[in-house]
Amino acid sequence: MDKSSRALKYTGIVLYTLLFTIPLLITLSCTNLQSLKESVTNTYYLHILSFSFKQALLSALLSLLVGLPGAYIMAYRDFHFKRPLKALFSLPFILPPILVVLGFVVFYGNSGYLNKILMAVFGLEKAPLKILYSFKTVLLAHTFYNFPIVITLVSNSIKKIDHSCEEAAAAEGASSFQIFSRIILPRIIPAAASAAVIVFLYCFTSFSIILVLGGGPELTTLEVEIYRQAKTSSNIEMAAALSILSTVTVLIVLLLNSAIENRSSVFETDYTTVRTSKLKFSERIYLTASTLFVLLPLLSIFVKSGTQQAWQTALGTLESAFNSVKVALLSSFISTALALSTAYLLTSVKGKTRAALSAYCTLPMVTSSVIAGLSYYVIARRYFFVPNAVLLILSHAVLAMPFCLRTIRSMWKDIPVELIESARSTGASERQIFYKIQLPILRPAVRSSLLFAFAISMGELNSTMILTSTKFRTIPIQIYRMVGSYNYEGACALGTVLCVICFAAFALMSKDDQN
Amino acid sequence: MKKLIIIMSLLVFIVVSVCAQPAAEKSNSNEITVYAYDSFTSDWGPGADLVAAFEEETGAKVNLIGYDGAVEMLAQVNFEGENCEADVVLGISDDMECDKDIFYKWEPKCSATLKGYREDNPLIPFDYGFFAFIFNSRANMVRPQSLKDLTSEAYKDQVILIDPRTSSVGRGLLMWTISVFGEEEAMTWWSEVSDNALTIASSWSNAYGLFTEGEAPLVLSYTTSPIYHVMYEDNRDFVALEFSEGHYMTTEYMGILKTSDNKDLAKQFCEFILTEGQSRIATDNTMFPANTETELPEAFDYALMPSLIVNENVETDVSALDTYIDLWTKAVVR
Repeated sequence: MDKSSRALKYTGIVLYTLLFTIPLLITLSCTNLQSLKESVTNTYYLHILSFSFKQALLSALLSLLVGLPGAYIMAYRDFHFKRPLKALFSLPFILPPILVVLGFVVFYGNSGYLNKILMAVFGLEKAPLKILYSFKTVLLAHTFYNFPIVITLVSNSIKKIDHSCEEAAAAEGASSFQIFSRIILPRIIPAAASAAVIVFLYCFTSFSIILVLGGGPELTTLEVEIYRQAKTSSNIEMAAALSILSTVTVLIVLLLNSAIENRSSVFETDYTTVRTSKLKFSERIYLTASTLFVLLPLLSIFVKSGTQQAWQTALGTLESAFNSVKVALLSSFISTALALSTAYLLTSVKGKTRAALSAYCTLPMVTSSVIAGLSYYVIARRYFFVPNAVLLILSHAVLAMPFCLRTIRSMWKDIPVELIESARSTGASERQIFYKIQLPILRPAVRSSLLFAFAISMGELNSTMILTSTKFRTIPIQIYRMVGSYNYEGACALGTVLCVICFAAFALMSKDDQN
Repeated sequence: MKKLIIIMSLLVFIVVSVCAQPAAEKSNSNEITVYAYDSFTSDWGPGADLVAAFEEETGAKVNLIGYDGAVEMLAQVNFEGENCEADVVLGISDDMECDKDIFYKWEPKCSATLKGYREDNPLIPFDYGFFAFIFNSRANMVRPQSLKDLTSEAYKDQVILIDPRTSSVGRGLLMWTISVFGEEEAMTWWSEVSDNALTIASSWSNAYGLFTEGEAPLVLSYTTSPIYHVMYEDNRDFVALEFSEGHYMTTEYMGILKTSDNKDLAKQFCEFILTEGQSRIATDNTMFPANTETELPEAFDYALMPSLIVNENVETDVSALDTYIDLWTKAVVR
């Protein structure tokens, strides 16, 4: 193997280790026995752990309850608007949580649109729905954010199930209830369970939603407490101890999940297609209600931003938009380059090494983004000073890296081996093969990866909250602060900007997918 | 190839513009950076006007940077350490744990008339006030007369509190209750009152925003808070409640960092705050000005001067704060 291809192969993984693993390990090792002991014995931290757990569990169950009928409908029914609905339900994957919170507050808040409409219709003097700052709010917001994820994930896995059984049963004269309860339901359960696990993890590490809608020590998740310990109490030891607690919990849940997934894979085949049928009346109602549930809060962001004053305040914070774009551009280039190089390495290894390496590269998804932010904060605070902007760029790049890697890897697998072999036999160097053959083929994946990383960085708030200084603000930070000082109009104007940028990235990405 | 060159040069440009930012600011000798909490720097705070007046008078440039709260501000100062961009840090209250060694010692010209000035303290007082609950008199309910009253069933979901871990105002109430009730009973009070809290907000501006939006009729603030509404909104609905247990006094300080490379201008700025700036501080920060020679505006007739001050001439023992906060978190979550 020639030198330059070796550099290409290992640069990604080495940089990733330097930029992610080492800072993380240094940070986690900042803890001490006393803090570790306190994190699992102090009644306050135990309360936080149990709150994080309880709300995540309930949110996952609620999301299942609301989302499962939708998953069933999206898989088994055929109707107009199915495609736009599908797009709508995949929104949470790219929509920054801060926009979810904003839409939620503006629509369901005490002085929000829903309350105003109810007051006007029923002639009330006080807002009838008081939902902010309670346990219920947290659950509602998490359900709002996550039930579309259940719909998308579960309906996708229903489509992968072998459906010949159902048809055989129908031919034998089984009633549709029998088919549902005996055949369909048992097969949905594993898919539902793994969707529930994902929702559980999202909610367990929930940050911005809790920060805005929760408030107070009663409603605090581990992530919020880690942020507070680092940023206001300057207690890095405790922040590190809580980070370990959070990461271990997530790992345990993931291990349980992989056990479930191994069992469910028995059913998976790809060849049969679902036989779809027309919508029933009740299903129409469900779809309309759930669409409104998701769409109205988002639309209210646009509506609320429709004043001159809103845009004046937004213009006043134009710098944050420039900052966001700068950080997003740079970090998306870095993460895509890291992912390309790592993907190259992954193709050249096999079996267990490959599995271990890919697992290693998905670590940023396991440790929450708050913890990733914390590790840079600790490095910059304890060891050497790095400007905030640089910290932001690097942390965003590392956080987006697993997604970029997945995007690039999935395309790399499709490159025909013969093509590479024949190039090799004509004497092309590894370097030439990469630049002349693989890279051009991968171009759409590289584009998608850039866009994905760009969108992630634009909406990132968690690590940004820890790392940012008042001087260098990004759009999500500015929105968060405006929400905190009740400048909803300005927040909505900036929210609209962020929304448009994220949607544009998403639209470009799905255009690539279709090509 | 052409495309690649364009992309590369674009990236280089961005890298340079991102990295060049922090370096560019310290170079100017006629320029200082001031860190303050957000209610000082925000639209309704005194910051913008004071800075503009100072800049006009001296021709210097002041970068005013706001933080979510004084606690976070100090954490940032410690975080930046030797590289701290600030020359002046403004808004440190006496109930905050703060390493005084990082501040430069100097004596302002008006030190003789400064309430709370101490020679051995490098931090200079610029205003003071008394914590109190503000009541919206449009709310249809009986006014609480004491801290004890707030724990009554009648005020369920009607009180907005502030987190002592993140806010100095929140800290103020914690110290207030401890001075009134003693450690143990104060915690009982907190666990009872937290049932009545609509929320425990993370900062004063967050809490006060909720209050003025009409989410709840009672909020923790200062006895001087109603002045703002009288002066700028001609609104007399909001009143400070005098409580029978007495009130807790707090003083706010500013300091010049030892790392400042423009101490003369920083001093000039502080002197300005202590003299011409004092009436602005009074009206827009709605606190009592530390310089006792300041003529108070008429609206201060609406400021409540409590008859009983629980911590007068008592120096706050900040060393016990960690223990108090630990007890507090346990009291409010259960």
